[in-house]
Amino acid sequence: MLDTDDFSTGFPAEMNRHLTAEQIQALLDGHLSDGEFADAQEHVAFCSRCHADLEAWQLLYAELGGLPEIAPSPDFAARVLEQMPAQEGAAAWRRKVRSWIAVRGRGAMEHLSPERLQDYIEGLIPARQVARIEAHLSGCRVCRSDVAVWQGLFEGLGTLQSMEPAEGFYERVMAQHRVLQLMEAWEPAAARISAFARVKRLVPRTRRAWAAVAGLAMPPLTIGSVLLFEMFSHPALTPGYLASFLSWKVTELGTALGSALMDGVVESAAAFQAYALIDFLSGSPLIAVTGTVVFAALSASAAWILYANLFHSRRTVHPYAQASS
Amino acid sequence: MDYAELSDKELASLAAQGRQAAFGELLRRYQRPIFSLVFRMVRDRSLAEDLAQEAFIRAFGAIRSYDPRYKFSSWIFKIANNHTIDHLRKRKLDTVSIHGSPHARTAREEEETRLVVESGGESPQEYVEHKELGSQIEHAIGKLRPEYRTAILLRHVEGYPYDEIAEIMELPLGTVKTYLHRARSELKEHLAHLTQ
Repeated sequence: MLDTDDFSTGFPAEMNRHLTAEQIQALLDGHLSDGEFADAQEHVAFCSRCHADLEAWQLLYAELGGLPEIAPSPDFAARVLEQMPAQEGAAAWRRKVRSWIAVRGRGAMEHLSPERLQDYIEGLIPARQVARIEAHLSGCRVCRSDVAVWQGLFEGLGTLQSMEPAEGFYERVMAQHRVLQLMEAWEPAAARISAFARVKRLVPRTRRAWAAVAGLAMPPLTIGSVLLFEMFSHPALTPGYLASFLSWKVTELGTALGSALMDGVVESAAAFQAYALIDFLSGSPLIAVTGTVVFAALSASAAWILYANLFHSRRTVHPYAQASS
Repeated sequence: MDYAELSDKELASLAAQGRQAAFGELLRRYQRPIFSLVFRMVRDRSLAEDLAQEAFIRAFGAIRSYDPRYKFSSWIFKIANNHTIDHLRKRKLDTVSIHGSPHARTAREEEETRLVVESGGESPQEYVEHKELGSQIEHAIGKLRPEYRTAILLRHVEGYPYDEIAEIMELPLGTVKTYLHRARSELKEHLAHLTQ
């Protein structure tokens, strides 16, 4: 693929051939393979003739890229189509002309997209396409100005710095972590799912949550403290007297509850009717036998459950233990 | 043992064995970048500290599930980012203010939550100009969607490569590129007045 117009530079024969116009254009268009691109780049680096050719082509590309957009008059396409011969295949011609006009129009006004410019600034564009972009930039004022704006934005973003959390953040996280680890270590295996896990979930994890808990606990604690202070600051009130008083009150309350229970349940009309019914049923032999059998079956089941759990328990794997192992 | 000399993966392995010092060293290394990301996402110092603290507690609690084939930084950033995005979705705190927390109720709270743009070794004029520019950029970042904001912060503040950002955000590489392109385009629009 390289030109046969050789010259001697002391380099290998492949590199002593000048680049053809097609190769230089392919280089600028980014159409060379990686290997071809590397060869061409290396050649241009030491060959002044090809270097000059490349610069001339770059200039041409730049001038083409910088050409102002010239749009045809709105009825241009219609006028062209009107003059097309009305014969078979005319429709295909019209399509071709429309497509040609569209492509030419787009080509004249095409600037580098924002995505391409961003990738160019970030260095994400493949090396073989950079030359083409730079050729476009050297001739296109709009894209050059865009690049400057993007560069400004990138520099601005680069000035943003990491921020420090408030003093004590480290200690707070570590303290919280230690508390949770401690709770995990003491967590009784049997209570992992139920009570202990629920309590653990209730432990506040943030400063806000601690503040809320403290806020909720404060009023009852304050009121309780004031009441206790008032009570014990009275000269006639001692802890012993208060304990006797409370004991008396609790006993009185228990007695009242017991009486209410006796009056309302044990000695009620419904209870007496139930006693009479049981009395009647116990007189029937069939009922008595059935009752005895049911009682025996329930007792046997209870005994078996007790035995199975206490003396013959199988080793079970706790789901939490399985997860952590 | 000098924990400061160990790699993140070694520390994570020791932490999984229950070594408190390893947890401490990991926290020391990541408290600033994690807090920084979370703070810029929610723009409320107190809330950011709570979220960052919860993220660390979550990560430490799940340290045994960390897979050393991946970078520890990606793993912990992923936890912090997911936690923050969840919070933002719940609270719909998408807009932020450079002038202080939107939840500030007093002038003092507003002052305390105001974003401070750090600067070093500059003349007073440069400092003021940079502070102003930084404030404008922070303000513009605050207007982005949370996902765009994460991508921009990870790329430009933390300096992560695209593939790691994709790993942290659990998104395909192409999506991350699109997010960054769109985010920057939005920033360019928001900051257009500076270039005129």
